[in-house]
Amino acid sequence: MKEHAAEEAEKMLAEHVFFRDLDPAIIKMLSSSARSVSFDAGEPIYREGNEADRFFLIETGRVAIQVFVTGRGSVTVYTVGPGDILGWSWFYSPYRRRFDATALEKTRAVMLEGAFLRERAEEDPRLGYELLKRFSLVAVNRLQDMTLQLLDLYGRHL
Amino acid sequence: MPEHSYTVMEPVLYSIERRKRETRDTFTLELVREDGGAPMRFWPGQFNMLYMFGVGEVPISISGDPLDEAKIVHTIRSYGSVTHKMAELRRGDVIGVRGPFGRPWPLDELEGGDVVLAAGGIGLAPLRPVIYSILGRRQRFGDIALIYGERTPSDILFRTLLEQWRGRFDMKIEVTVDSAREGWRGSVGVVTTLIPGLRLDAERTRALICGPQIMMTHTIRALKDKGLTEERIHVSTERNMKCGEGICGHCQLGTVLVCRDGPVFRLSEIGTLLGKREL
Ligand SMILES: Cc1cc2nc3c(=O)[nH]c(=O)nc-3n(C[C@H](O)[C@H](O)[C@H](O)COP(=O)(O)OP(=O)(O)OC[C@H]3O[C@@H](n4cnc5c(N)ncnc54)[C@H](O)[C@@H]3O)c2cc1C
Repeated sequence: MKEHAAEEAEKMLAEHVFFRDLDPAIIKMLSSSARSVSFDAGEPIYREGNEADRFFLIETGRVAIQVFVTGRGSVTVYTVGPGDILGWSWFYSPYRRRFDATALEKTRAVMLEGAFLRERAEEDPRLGYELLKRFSLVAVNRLQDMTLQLLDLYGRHL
Repeated sequence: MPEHSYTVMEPVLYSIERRKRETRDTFTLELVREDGGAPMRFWPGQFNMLYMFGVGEVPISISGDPLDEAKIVHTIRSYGSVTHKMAELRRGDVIGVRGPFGRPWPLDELEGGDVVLAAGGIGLAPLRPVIYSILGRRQRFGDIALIYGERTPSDILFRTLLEQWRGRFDMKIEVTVDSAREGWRGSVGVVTTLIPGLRLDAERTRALICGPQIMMTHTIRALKDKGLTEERIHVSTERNMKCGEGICGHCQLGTVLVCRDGPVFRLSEIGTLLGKREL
């Protein structure tokens, strides 16, 4: 992981769809922990079981979310790309990664400190609720997408 | 649209000039007329009834280039009694062909705007002639994007062609699969996951969707979330067919007959019918 200049992270955060219509004061608070980072193709971003204390807003590139299966290796269950959020385990106890994440291409992202956000959310329930709504939506959408994948949509033509 | 000046109930004999294996269960047949005559003219989105003598007849879309004056091309996924037998066809074998049938994709309406083509599985085959047509007069269109979802990487159709098109840089091509073994470096997730990432201007974009009904339902929802109205969404529907001419009624979808009024519909024409469970 390479880190880049801080100003870029602030700008990207303000423009990201995930934070659309969020109170500018909150955006400012978030930016204080934001850093612009990049990963090379094939670089691991985190591993299942690791402590989950950060998350990423993908700017460019693509990341595979994987499960390691003994005898089969890493199975990609989903990929995320520009505009997507990577990682939400930092928001829910026990704050451990549920999956592996590996950059498939050169990827740029904004990294935010989840542990810091959690503390702010504990202090300010309005902020906490706002974040909960947004992150739950990410989790719900992923669940729905993965349910569709299980349906074998293209298996038959009718 | 070409008029049918002959009786379409009578099959014309075509022989297999080339058979190409696409994937484990899908193959492409290039057909030429037995009598040496020129093959039919067609519009992208139209289909033929292909007749395997002694076995049965099935509706199959035309997947080739409308400007190809030598042959007519079909891409077929093997499902049941007739298509399993078709999978055994070899060069020189003869089949009966009736058609072309059906209402095509609205190519004229696409001109001057952006186009999103969304394909699921074998649904890529009926969209391929649209892409040939667009690329044949590329300057008349704005941004073109093809999003295509398949089961696994080995089920992906027209691989070489997709790579060629991607290499043109005047068309966005995104392929995603439901599941992949190690080694696949592309996207994983159903085709709808590609839609939020499309930068599209709802006022000047039209979407053409072809795939299984459930894939179309979810794709439509995601496109509507992007602001596309039902006027700007076109779908190709499928029903069991027999005559292909609006006579037998096998392919009825509510108040319309898919073979005669479709298979391509503007969503605003059939919107509420598409997702109905009892149809
Ligand atoms: C307008 C139209 C265009 C089509 N284009 C293509 C194409 O380009 N490539 C392709 O591979 N397939 C296409 N199909 C689907 C193809 O017609 C069916 O897969 C085929 O009819 C199945 O016949 P079968 O005898 O092999 O299977 P069967 O043993 O008859 O049935 C196997 C399965 O296919 C379904 N089925 C049967 N007949 C039809 C039918 N007429 N239409 C849809 N599903 C049916 C059955 O419900 C069953 O689930 C198209 C269908 C329509 C209506």
